[in-house]
Amino acid sequence: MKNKKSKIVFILGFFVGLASMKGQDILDLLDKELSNEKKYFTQATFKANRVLLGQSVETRKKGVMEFTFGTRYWNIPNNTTGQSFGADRFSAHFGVRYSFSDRFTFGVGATTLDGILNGFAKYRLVRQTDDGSTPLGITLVQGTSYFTRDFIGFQLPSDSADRLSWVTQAIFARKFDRNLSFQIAPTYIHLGNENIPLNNTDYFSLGFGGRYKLSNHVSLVSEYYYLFGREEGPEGFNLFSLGVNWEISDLILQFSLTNAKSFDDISNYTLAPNNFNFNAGRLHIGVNATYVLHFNQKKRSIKSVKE
Amino acid sequence: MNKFFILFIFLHFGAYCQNDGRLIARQGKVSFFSYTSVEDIEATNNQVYSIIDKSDGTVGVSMLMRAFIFKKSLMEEHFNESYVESDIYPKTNFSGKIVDFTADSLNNGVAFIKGNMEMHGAKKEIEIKVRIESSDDKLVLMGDFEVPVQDFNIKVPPLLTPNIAKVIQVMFRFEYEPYEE
Repeated sequence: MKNKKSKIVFILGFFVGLASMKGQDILDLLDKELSNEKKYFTQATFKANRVLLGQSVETRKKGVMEFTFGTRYWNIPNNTTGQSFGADRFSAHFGVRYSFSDRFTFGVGATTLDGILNGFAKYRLVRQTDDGSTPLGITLVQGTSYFTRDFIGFQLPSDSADRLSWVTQAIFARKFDRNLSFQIAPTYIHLGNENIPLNNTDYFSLGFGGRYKLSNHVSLVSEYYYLFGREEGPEGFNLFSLGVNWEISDLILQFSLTNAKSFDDISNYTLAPNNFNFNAGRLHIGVNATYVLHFNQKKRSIKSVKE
Repeated sequence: MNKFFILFIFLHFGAYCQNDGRLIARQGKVSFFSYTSVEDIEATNNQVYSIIDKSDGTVGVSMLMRAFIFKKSLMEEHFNESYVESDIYPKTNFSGKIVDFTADSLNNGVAFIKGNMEMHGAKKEIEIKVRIESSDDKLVLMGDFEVPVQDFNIKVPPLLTPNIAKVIQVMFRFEYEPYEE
């Protein structure tokens, strides 16, 4: 008899418990509702269109125009010709980029040192998501460079068709956690003409880039591009850069230490770099300032509670 | 034995009734404003969830910080990455209760809600005055309040202190409908 009674109590208790589960805490219910919300793309894998010198996986959002003014300073051995801006040599770059959509960005630029005009188109094929359903981002880049004059180690071809060079990249990037991002960029380079010291027109290169966030507004970045099929040394050196990205509202300052003089992709990957060391003529110090303008503010915003 | 059955029936109904008084807002709106002489910042989230229990006056609000839309996309990125750090603290929650709740509280037009707001890992008690519009099966709550940035451990770099107000104004509007799972 006693046994039967406790059994009934247990069964009744079970039903009561089942019913009470419906009355769980309001915040738990809200949590459940929120979990059905849409997934978000991972943001800030890198902070700008360029890691420092090379392209990054990142593009701007739709309707954003970005102006870049880059400078680089270095000394040369046995300088006799005087200095400008406190260094023996100085090079500057001006570039404009516009994002036609969240995926597609187009940019153009010009550099003073080597007179290269460059343009590029970037397309974000795959974007990493916060929930991990897409673990990495892929961006395709097609760039072209037009050489306009002779510069150190480069002689301008007489036929204008030979002055065009192409670079094609697929950038694979992953933001591992809030601080660490890494990208690998298989790169194909086609030079418009054979040029001393290189004795080939087609090259394959593999680029590595990383970002480590030091604080909410400052991050450390570095890049390395390995060029296959050339003898490193007599035929130039692989691109290396180390720098800091500092964000101040609409402005990003990118300070860099690098072995390259130029701002152009082709020139950086193949022609210009020296061996990276601290001797005169080897080390180049630069600052890139990027200013961001938003053109679709009205379209983008949604009505606030006030309106 | 009979006593058990009576107890059972009471408990059972009690548990079900709790659910009856619940209303939910799935597209609640929350906007915030930061006005300074340098820059006006405003952002709106129209995917805010809220549940109110008509039987005892408890209120809960929950939202994803990533769902705030800014006019400037870069500002949205900075908001999430550098200020509210939505990768670590993705949600902002509020849970509270209508002060001196009676059966008439929701018909009075105005009420005070007291409770805890949890944002950016910090918890603060706040009291908010809400305006109430109620009809047969619909209930609208709206109001505004102020949030000091410092209360929630949000760090503003010295260079940008003139751009961001010390006290952020928040406005909200929730339209509730009966809750069904």
